[in-house]
Amino acid sequence: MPIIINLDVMLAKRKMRSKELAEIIGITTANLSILKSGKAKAVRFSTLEAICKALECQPADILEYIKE
Amino acid sequence: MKKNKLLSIAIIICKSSKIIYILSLIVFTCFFAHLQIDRDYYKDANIKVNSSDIDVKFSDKWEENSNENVFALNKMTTTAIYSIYFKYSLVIIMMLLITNEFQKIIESVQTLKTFKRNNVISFKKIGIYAFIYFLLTCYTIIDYHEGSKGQLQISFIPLIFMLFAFIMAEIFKEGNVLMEENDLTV
Repeated sequence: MPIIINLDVMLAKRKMRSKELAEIIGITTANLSILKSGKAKAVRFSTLEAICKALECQPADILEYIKE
Repeated sequence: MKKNKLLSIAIIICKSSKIIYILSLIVFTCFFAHLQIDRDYYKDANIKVNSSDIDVKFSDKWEENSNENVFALNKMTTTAIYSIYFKYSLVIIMMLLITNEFQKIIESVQTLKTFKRNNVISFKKIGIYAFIYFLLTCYTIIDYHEGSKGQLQISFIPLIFMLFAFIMAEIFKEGNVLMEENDLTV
């Protein structure tokens, strides 16, 4: 998929663990893992909003479009 | 949905049907074996063959009915008896397999795994079994020592059932895609 999830990068920048983020945004670590690995087929706005709020960033910092 | 009574009843019916099919197969096999051992015992027996069922009666005269095919058992060739045995054994096996797949589907619905890939496969299998059932029941060929008698009788019920099963497989396939998409939405 040409949409890349840069969640790992943002987590590293904020020095936050995946488990911690999952707890803050209220999703399971399994679901966060799906998102990080790029297996997710869709992201809810509510989840995106929670991630942006927790990591203090913009959606564009997490999602990136790369031409195939 | 563990306590859904309708599904539980359906599972009980499926299990009971499976037992009946297995018993029928055993009885039919015993009858066939006995026929091989002591054919004189069946010298007065007539066999009535319909498209999907078989009936043996010990009498010289069968009730007159133009729709029934009545054959004297002792006049049949060994090949004909074997072919009847294998044909109706396969019919019972197909019904057993269809019931088994149907039971699997109901059990998956009960455990809230309705749109799993297994159900798509089960419906496809039911469709194939229904088609085999149709092929087995659409003809009747009885070989006699003097000659043979054949009949082609197309029943649309197994074909409709097959079509229904394949349509259900497609619906469940769509459901499976939607379920996977839903599961992968974070």
